Amino acid sequence: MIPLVDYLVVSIILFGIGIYGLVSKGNALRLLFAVEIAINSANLNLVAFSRYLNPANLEGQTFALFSIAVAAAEAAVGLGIIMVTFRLNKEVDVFKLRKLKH
Amino acid sequence: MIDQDIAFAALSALTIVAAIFALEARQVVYGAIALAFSFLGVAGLFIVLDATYVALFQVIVYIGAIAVLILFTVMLVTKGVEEESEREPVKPMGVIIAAVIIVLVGAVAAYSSLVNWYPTSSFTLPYVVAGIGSLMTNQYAIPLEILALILGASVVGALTLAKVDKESS
Repeated sequence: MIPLVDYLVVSIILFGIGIYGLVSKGNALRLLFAVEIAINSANLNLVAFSRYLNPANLEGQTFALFSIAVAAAEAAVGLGIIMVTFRLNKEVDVFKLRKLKH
Repeated sequence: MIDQDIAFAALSALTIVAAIFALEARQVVYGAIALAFSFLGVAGLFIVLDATYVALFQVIVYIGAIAVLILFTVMLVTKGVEEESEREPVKPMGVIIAAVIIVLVGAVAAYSSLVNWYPTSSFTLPYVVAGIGSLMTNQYAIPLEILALILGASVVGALTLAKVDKESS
């Protein structure tokens, strides 16, 4: 039997990896990877708590499905923005895209 | 059950290693493929958690749609800048922040009463798809409609973004 805290530890580690990517990466595509990893950790949390609190209650799984659908929408728009940025600037490094700063 | 433990250990190792590789791979294309493997590991964890329908949804949406979309975008975007993109140096700030989050929240979880929380050993699996469908159409009907609006708006937004303007370019 796997205790609930094991799933939580995996989820926390995934979230930490996502935060690490968001803080330290410059490539816009990698930032999107990091966001997807963090969303996955949240979904894992939802499903794990749904299973361990009351398996007959499916609300946690329903919320995970909603979250997956919203993540799909976010990925579509984010990739579109990256494509436009690349077409306009020939660059996807966010540290080189600071036009308003200078 | 020992099988479940082995499956959990293998799947969580796959998920975490693939997630790290997705961010640290030298080329973004390999990172995108590793990200698909990380999604697959999470889907396997869903199956271990008896949430087969969510696992199915995860495979269809994440691996079938998002990973493939990311792969196409990576191949379109990194065409010209592939040669000069070398490995980014690991910044200590990100490692510090991630380690602080993992240690703090992990310590809170490890010292709480969640450690003794085991699953109810025997239960009859309900009709999952029917249950989720009934929840979505009765109790969460309005969120479902709003979700449909979000998906439609995101499709329109992505199309508008991707449209090439003949005059401006």
